Amino acid sequence: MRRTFFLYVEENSPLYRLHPLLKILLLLFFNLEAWIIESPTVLWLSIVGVLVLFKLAKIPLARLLKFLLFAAIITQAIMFSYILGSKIPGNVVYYEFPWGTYVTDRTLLYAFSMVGRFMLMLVGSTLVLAVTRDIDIIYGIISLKIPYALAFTVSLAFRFATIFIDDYFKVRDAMILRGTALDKGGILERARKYVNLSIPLMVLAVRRMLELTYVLEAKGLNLKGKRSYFYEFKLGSLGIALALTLITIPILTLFLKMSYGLFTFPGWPFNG
Amino acid sequence: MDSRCVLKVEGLWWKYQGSKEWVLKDVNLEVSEGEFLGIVGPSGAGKTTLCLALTGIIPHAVRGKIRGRVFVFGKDTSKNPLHRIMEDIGIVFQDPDIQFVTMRVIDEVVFPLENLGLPREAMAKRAYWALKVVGMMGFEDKYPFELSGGQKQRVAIASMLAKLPKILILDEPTSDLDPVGKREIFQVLQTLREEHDMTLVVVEHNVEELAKYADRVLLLNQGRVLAQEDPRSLFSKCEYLIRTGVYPPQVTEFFYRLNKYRGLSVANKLPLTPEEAYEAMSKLKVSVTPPIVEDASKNCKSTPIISFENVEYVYPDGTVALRGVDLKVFRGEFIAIIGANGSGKTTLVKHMVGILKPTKGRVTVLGKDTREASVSELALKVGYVYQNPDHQLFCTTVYDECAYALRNLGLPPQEIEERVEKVLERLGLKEFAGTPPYFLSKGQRQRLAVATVLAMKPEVIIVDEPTTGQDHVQSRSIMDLLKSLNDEGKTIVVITHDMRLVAEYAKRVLVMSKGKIIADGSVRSVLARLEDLDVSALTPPQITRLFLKINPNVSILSVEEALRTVRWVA
Repeated sequence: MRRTFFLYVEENSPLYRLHPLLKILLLLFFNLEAWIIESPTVLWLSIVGVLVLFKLAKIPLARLLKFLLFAAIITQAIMFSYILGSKIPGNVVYYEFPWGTYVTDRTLLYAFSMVGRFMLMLVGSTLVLAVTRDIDIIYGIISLKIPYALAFTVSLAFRFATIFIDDYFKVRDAMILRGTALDKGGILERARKYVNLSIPLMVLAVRRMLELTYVLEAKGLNLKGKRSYFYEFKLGSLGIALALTLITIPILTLFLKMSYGLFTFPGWPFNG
Repeated sequence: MDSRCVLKVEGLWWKYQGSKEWVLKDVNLEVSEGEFLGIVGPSGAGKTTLCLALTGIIPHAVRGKIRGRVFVFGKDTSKNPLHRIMEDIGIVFQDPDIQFVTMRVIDEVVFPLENLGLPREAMAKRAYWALKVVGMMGFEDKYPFELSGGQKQRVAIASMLAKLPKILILDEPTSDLDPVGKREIFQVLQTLREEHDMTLVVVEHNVEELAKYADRVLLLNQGRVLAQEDPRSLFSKCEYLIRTGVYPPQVTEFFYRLNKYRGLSVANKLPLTPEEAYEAMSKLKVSVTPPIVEDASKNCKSTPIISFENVEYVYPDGTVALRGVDLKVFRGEFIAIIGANGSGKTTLVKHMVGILKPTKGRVTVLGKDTREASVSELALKVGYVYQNPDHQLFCTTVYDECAYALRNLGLPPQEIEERVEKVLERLGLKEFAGTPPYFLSKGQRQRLAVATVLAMKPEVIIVDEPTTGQDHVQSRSIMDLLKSLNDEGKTIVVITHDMRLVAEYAKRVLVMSKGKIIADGSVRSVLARLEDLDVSALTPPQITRLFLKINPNVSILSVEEALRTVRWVA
């Protein structure tokens, strides 16, 4: 088992070996498709398809449980916002609120569709990030002809996120040890506690940034000058075909949606 | 300029932008090719600033005012681009984490080479060579969180080494490391000298290692070079060094004081290592009287205030950090916990404050099971001071910092005021009551961290690595404070790697290895158990080692005790 910064993944999985550009395109692909497609059937079938890819990539599905709470909160927020605040005409009106909005069968279906969009983004992104190393991000961004400075900044952010999280837990524990109940009190009181928590984190970050400047100078980082790269990723003919597919499908989906109404809400079998 | 001179500093003055004080004052220095130059000095002496100036980072990447010049291989650093200067120089900093800017060992080592624009084959060749030199082959795919501090620091050295610099500068490379890590780094430096004839400039508080390896040592204080001599000559000026805030090697100080106060001419050259000291001692007609030892068990008759019963702790990722720990802490003890990084020291003390609850077994604090008590409830009885004070200072003034926990406890304002004033006075921080904590020096912040805990009047005070990155004066100041609290009846538990301070201050020592307590006893008895210490890659202080070699039954803890022990035979 190797560890990427999101999950543990078998190195011999075909997705792990993908060219970094393809990993970035795949990430964009899932998010674009989720944005274009409205039909709940297509969305949820796509999610099933991504879960099959999890299996093929040898990523334990249990890893998705990490995001269960996050997914539950977002799902709840989507459902409530549509139930309480939308006016989507439908065949059956279940309830009318005094403020003028109402709940119909289509309200629930649309909310279900929106949850599907969010879920496709979540599981799709998780799939890609599970097989992505920081080096992939750097090389992927560079393959897109985006300046190295941006690629390096992204990579550095991932590296320092781990240090930041470590600091966060230490400061949090220190506050608890001095009698702070972080999760008690009203919203304002909690906000004040978290402001207190953020002070040492910011001070530590500033101090580290200063030292990091020296370190990067010492390592000869030159964002404008010419540099070479240790890894060589070759995009073979299969890779090129896959890249073209990943670019073509969202364009085609958008075209079919705009021209023929395919993938629009509510879609099959809810059209009638 | 001498043809063998690779680094030259001429009348260098430097002050940071916005600062009134010059940090470096008229520094003059020459370093020859292949030389090992050690730099010592108290905190704030300007050592790091000098390192930055030697590499050209000052003035290129740091704003301030400069006078004088620095030459690297004859090139004036202020007139040449930084990346040109950096081709000849590598620098390793103190914090092993901040230097790891990528996510894998191999990426870290090739990163400077990519910046140089080297071809792929050349990068691979140099990177694997550098990893081999520092003994990190086989770790190429490891992530920073999979490495110990010593290993990360070796990667930092490899990363610089791969550039094939002619000069390597190391700024306190071992201060965050456990004894194993320290030893690893000096072994690597030895290899670089012996096999690669590299010029080394090393800033270090650990003078005993410097004395062993350096050709010359430069003493810096308040930005001025006070001396630059060979180690034996410099470290023989014991009183002068101590006045400056630098403690000489223990055996050197011992012989210096034998000479001076006993009026004996015991050695022409003062020894620097226990081996040299043993040789010098064997030529003397002296006898060694074992010191009168206090009964260490007399404190242990009361009921324990903290008790561990067969405690096991497993982290969520499956790491077993404690394995069947049994321990009793008694009121009024001064305990030092020692052991390599990852041996379970911090996990152990986090159980004492209830931040961690045992996976198996039971921990009780003043009779209460920690699983049934909240952390804030336990914090009233057991205070915990973090290694880095910046992790526990979050208020806008020193006063508020001390009052924070008391307000959370809901104490009346008058009592809060009384307690805070008392504790600030006790720790010499009263004049800073209205100052933001981050404006204090590191030593003062460390004291403030202790003050915040002390204000809660806990019975036990746990201090995690209080002396890391501090000079000996600051370290002793903190340890003196803990000793005085212990004299007042507080129970003190300290985690530290500094064996000299352990010997001089602790009454009881716990040695941890792989989640177990492998030795537990009076400081004198534990420091004499060389085999147990060796398992944890720990080494007793120089003076203890010297006397154990003379007589395995005589365990000496300090230079003062050693002087009392030696009897002159007519």
